[in-house]
Amino acid sequence: MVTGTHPEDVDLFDYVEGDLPPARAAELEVHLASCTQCAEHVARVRTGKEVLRESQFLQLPSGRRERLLASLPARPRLGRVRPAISPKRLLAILAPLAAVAAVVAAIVTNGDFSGTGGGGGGITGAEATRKAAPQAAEGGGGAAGTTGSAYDAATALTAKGSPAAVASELRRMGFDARVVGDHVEVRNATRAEVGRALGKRRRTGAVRIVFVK
Amino acid sequence: MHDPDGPLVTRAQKGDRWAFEQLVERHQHRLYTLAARLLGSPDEAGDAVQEAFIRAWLALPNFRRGARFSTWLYRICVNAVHDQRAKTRRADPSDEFEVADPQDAFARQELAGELQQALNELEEEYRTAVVLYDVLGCSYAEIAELTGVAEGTVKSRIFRGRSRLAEVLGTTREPR
Repeated sequence: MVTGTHPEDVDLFDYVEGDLPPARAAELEVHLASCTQCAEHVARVRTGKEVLRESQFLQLPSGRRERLLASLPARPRLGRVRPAISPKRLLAILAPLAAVAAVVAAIVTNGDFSGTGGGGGGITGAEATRKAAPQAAEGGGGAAGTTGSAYDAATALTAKGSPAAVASELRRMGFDARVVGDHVEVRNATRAEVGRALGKRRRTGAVRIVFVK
Repeated sequence: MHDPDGPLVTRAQKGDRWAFEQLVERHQHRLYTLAARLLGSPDEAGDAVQEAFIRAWLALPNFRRGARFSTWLYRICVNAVHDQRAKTRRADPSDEFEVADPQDAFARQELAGELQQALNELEEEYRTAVVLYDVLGCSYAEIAELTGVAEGTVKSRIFRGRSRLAEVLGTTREPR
């Protein structure tokens, strides 16, 4: 089909790659037979393809690989795999159980096993209750205060640029980052991981990066 | 989606360094080829690859299984190449001196050759498209995903990149 307009690049590309339906390919061939401009373009594309495909892979020098492996930093804590229950929450759950255990122990101590060594267990249970109770209260308060996307300001990082630019760069690095108000929130990653990824020169600036779970 | 790297990725995500080293072993030369063809310098390519693997290792727990690991890794590498280019522009060339690795001779020879000179002449988006497609063998879909453009745009960039490359090679060959 010879028309006044030239085929689109994408059509010509599919033609060169052999991905066009035969009827469409035949139409293009008719055009190419009469259009020197397109025919030369296609010829150049084929040459470029051949030259690129003849090129060989380059080998990373082994010395460089060794340096690379040696420079991999420690990744102490996983971002995604976290304990299902935080230590504070665990204490909040365990404290009432400890109280129950203490009561049971007290009953046992005062009952059949009185004076036979079971008393030790009774004291231990009571001590556990005394120790756990204030922490449980603190844990409960803490849990109420940290619901949602609250964060610990002491662990925040800062970076240069706009919040959107910082979030975008972190996402490019594979972090789950988003802009929230005037700061950037990163989920499922530690301060250390983000700090290392950003490098020293970007750790100070006006944009706060906070870590939420 | 089947990902041949899947089992190693799962282990490396849990912090298994050995598994990650196997992934480095598998992908190092492809990543180096990508970085070297985009940057045109073996030393800068080595730096970019090192940076890319470190970023991948640190960000691996956040890697989602929607994409192939290799596509994700190439994206990190392309970004590391961008950053490396910006760093090189800022740095005083006299600041850094790197001793050449003798095993790098082939890469140095290739990167001083005619093909690389022609690639260096291409606009970055065309160079990235032809290197990913024709040199590394990525699919349009992968390139679209890792460069963030539509598949039609990827095809158009490969088409124009190849054409421009042949044009540059033609003009450099003619005077001989």
